[in-house]
Amino acid sequence: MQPRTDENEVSATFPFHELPLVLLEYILNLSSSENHLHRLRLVCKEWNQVCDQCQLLLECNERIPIPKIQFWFDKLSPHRLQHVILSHTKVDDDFVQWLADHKNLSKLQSLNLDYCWQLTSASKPYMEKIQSKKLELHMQGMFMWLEPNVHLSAEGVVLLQLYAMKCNQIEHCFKFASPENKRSTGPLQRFARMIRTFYACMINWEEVTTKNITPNPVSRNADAQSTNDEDEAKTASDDDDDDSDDTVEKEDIQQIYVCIAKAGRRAKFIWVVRRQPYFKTSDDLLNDQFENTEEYKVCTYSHYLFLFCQSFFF
Amino acid sequence: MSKEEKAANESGGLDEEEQIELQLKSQDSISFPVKKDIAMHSALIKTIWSARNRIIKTKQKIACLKLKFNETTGDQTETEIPLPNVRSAILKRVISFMEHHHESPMKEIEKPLKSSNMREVMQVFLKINNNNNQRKNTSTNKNKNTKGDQETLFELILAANYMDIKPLLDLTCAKVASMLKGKTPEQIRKQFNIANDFTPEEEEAVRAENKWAEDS
Repeated sequence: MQPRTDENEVSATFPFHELPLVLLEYILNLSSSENHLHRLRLVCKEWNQVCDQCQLLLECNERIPIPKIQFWFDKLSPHRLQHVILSHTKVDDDFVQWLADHKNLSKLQSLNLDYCWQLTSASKPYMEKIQSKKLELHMQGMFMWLEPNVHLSAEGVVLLQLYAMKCNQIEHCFKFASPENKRSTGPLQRFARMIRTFYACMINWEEVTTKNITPNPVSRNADAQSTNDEDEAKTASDDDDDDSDDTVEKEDIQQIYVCIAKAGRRAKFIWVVRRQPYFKTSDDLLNDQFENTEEYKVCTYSHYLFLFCQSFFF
Repeated sequence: MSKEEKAANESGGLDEEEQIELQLKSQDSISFPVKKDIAMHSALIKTIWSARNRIIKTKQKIACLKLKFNETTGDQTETEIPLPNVRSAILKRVISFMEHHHESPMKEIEKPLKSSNMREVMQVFLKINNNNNQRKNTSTNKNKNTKGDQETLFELILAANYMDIKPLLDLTCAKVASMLKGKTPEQIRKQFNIANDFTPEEEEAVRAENKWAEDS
């Protein structure tokens, strides 16, 4: 970009051409609303290039529709596409298939597919292809593909169940139920009937907040400034806690406060999940030789699974 | 901040550190006395000061070991911070900003800007200008001083970036961004003296491409 020299009427000069690119991008980002960027990019070639980056950032923040993501993938050079955050309710199987075959995919460093809950098992082969590119892949809340496993936190399990119910896929919620819970609420058809009858607010919820409120003997009174909702939740959880004095069991049981909003109403629950004993399959039986090792001890309490849910306020 | 730095800042690498006045030395070798607390709004000065403190403490330890402690303490030149990329006129304004920001911290600017009216956002900046230039009303002098203001603004942005003062960088960049807001490409080119290096075909292609992006 060169400054003009042929116009005498210009007296006010902010020397943009001397500004480092990083500062130009900073300024354009500040002034960039969606419509205004289209004007700014027509000023000169340099601004056009800087605006590409600004627009991608802007649109990523606003959860851009898939055609636009595809547009930027094709338009931007690979080194400018190092990180892509999607985390997007509109990401579907077709998009994952498109992404898996894209020439720029191998240049990506990380891809965030957290809670892209419209993806189905049809995407599995394409996801495996994406995973094979060794990029950093985030897949929280993907209840379709995840099974109970040692890497899931208690809150993670609750979120998976909640998102399964958001999509009205109760079978995926049921798979994270503990054996005890399944015995009392199962089989699946009965469980589904119970959810639809007594917990209908959980189906297709609009907004959810969760918080781990498991009483901690060390910090039980530390959080003096909790909100009213949290106080209610803590009171409810403390009542439950009185029955159990077994410290090992306390560590294994986690209580998650869940607030679900739907159609202008809110419902609050305590989700109780417990770390489960290791489930032995025929293959696992072969590993009995490790029974007394530390490794096996870790495995014996591996999965957090849903134990029961207590509604305490509507 | 590491534990060492924190300790150096809190307990003081020097005696009565809170009372210390730093001498910020501009490109044209003019020194400005600034209270240490105020100068610390610049991340660059903070880094230089922390590093220097560590060196002084090390020197003192070495001097103690050599029983020459008195010879190394009270060295006035140690409070001087050279800022070779900033002119004195600009440094004066930067210091005014830091003093004002220290007294009443600036609110974070919303991004992206919602309007081109920077009057409210720029209150702090305008106040500083008023104090420095003895202006009663900036709007009446707007045309007269536009060129000088824009050059100063440009230098302030570079200084804020160099001295790593985020609130000042936000403020000055927001001012420039507000000048772009609501203008057509041709108006921007004219106002900021930027040459249009697009060929008509290229410009049409950019327009068409963005139309596609808008429609999708």
